[in-house]
Amino acid sequence: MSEILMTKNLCKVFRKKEHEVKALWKINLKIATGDYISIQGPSGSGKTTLLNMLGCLDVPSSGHVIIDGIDVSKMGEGALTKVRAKKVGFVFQSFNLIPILSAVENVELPLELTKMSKKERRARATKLLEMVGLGDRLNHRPGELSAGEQQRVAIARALANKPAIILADEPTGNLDSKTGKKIMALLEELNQKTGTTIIVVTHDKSMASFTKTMIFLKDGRVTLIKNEQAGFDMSKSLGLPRNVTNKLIRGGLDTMEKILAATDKDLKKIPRLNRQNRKRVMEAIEDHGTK
Amino acid sequence: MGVGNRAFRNVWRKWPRTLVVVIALGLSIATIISMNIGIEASKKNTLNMIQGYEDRLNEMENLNEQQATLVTVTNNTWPGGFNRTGGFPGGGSGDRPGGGDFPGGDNPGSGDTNRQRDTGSYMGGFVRNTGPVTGDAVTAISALGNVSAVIPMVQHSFGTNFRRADYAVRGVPLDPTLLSKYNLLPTNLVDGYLITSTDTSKVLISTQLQKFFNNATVGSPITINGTDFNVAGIYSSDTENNIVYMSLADAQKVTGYDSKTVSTIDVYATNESTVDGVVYDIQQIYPKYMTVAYSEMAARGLDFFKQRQSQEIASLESDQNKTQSTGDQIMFISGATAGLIVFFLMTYTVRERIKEIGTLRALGFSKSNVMAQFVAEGMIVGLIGGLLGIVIALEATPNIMRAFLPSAQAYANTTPSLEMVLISLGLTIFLGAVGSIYPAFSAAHKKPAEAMKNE
Repeated sequence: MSEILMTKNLCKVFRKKEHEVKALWKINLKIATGDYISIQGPSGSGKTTLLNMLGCLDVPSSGHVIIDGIDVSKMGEGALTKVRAKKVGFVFQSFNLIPILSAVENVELPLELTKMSKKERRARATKLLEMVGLGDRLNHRPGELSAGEQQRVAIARALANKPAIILADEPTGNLDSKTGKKIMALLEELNQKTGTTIIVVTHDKSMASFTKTMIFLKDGRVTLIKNEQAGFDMSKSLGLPRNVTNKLIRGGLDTMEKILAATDKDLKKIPRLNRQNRKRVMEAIEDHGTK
Repeated sequence: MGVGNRAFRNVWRKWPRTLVVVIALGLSIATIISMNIGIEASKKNTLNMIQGYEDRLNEMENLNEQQATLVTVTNNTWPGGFNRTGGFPGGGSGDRPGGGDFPGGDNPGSGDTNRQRDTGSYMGGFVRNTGPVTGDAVTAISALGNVSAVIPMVQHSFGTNFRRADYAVRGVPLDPTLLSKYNLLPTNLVDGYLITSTDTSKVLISTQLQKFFNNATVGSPITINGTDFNVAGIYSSDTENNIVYMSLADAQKVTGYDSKTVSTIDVYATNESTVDGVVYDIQQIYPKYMTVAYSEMAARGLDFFKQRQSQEIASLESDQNKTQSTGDQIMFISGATAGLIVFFLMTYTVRERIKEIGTLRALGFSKSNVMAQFVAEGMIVGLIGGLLGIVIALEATPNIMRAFLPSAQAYANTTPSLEMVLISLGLTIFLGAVGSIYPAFSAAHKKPAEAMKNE
């Protein structure tokens, strides 16, 4: 599967007078087309900063961001604006709908930048709103919609220009748990239906569980990339339960090679991996070696 | 949805605030329009007045040229007096409303241009007519050397008011040669025809006298001192508007003179250098008659007029400059206020909508798209304010002028022209655009990521 998004040694440093804050430090990511990813981490870990870099809303201090094969890290403001208009869709925590516009007009907004006729724009916006279940709320203004409905409008708007990537910054942050799950499920459904790569920033594990890949950030560094498929594959080949494999991945042994090269001493460093599980892992490594 | 439509909706997003701004803008524009009306009307009036002065000066200069050889002969020995029913049996005119004692009077500018009528003399503001001049004088003066023309005339005032005659009769010889050479009859005929030597019992009356003679028109019969006449023509005049013109013979009949008696004789010398000789000769024959050479008096009058005219023009120009300067200052302040009002509104609006600006930028809107959006909003505010300003100006210009430009208040009821309305609208839209450029620029240049953080 090809990569739609890549970062190479991506760094973002904020300087205030003589004080320097490394918001992101040497981030290397390869995000495959059609993936559904969550970026998790505690407050101040750099999640939103990373999302801003990936969405061309901000420029890195160093390193590269490559979207659909184009290195955007050295682009000027005008070129970045065009990339945002064509390649990226945004969903925000507080929806950010334009209050004077109706739902359908809000969805039409990004299409104004295209060469589509007014009629075509209206037809596409209507179709998208129907897709997110708001076919009967086309002419309602944001103030007349519930929070969940507003976020659906925002999702439809993000899909309007058929972007390669949708970036969602805490899309469930302003929603109750039930509505939040519906939104995550909707994003998952859209990911499957349209094949659009979706990256969600969240601090809510239950919401992140909807995603295929989880990226964990701490102090501006990636601490773990948990891929549902990779974990499943490793569990299967080592004959280990998923929860044990997950602990190994979180502990830094996120590839088969690393696990097979690990010693008991390395396993002792893995958090919450008890002696019994360490023994099971060592046995699995030995068994794998004799195969 | 286009930028304009979106801008229009945004303008009314906080409608009470927009309304206040639009009213303030409207008042500013109304003030500008009112000042403009005042200044333009005042300027036009000043120019008209100056033109009027110049026209009168030209007339006087032309007249002086004609009068350079004129000598009038009247009988000042007659005691005069006012006959309430019949008027004066002498010459002279009582038909000089607002007129002056040109030559050498206090307001030569308002005097008539037909010098033959200035044979009377004023005493305390009303005319004392001169006495009869014997018909022999015409023959005797005609026989003198260096005389090119002798024109006998009869003038007689009629009225019931002691101070002012209702009208005056003026009898002139209707000799075609004299008529073609000298202005003996009115020049501005508005209806009918000029009487000729073949006409008897025909008169010319002024538009003003029509009413006095029971709304007489051409062909209407009128009665003067018991004698019936028919109106042959109607003339118009700003200065000599209560004179009834008729033939000399008819005038003599109406006034009771015999066919040889007149009230005034106009004598024209052959040239300017012979005037003094002619005056001398007349005085030798008729020492009791008053002989006036107009050349010197007219020159004095002209000098006086010129002097007064330059003072008046200087005064008019000074007043106009003051009006212009005050009006310009008020317009500048109003314009600057209008621009600042839009500036503050748009600055506040931008601050309120930073997050929205960030959203638009995130969606792919360029800096120029965002800038156009806010400038369009400023222009719409300007347009609405301008329309309101025009309405206010139409209704309240007198009050605005009374408050700011009392010197131009006389023109307060002038309606703004379509051109002024369009210029004012253009100005407000321009001010709206100018006032919103900086806020729009600052909005467009906000970093999207920073703008998104704003709550």
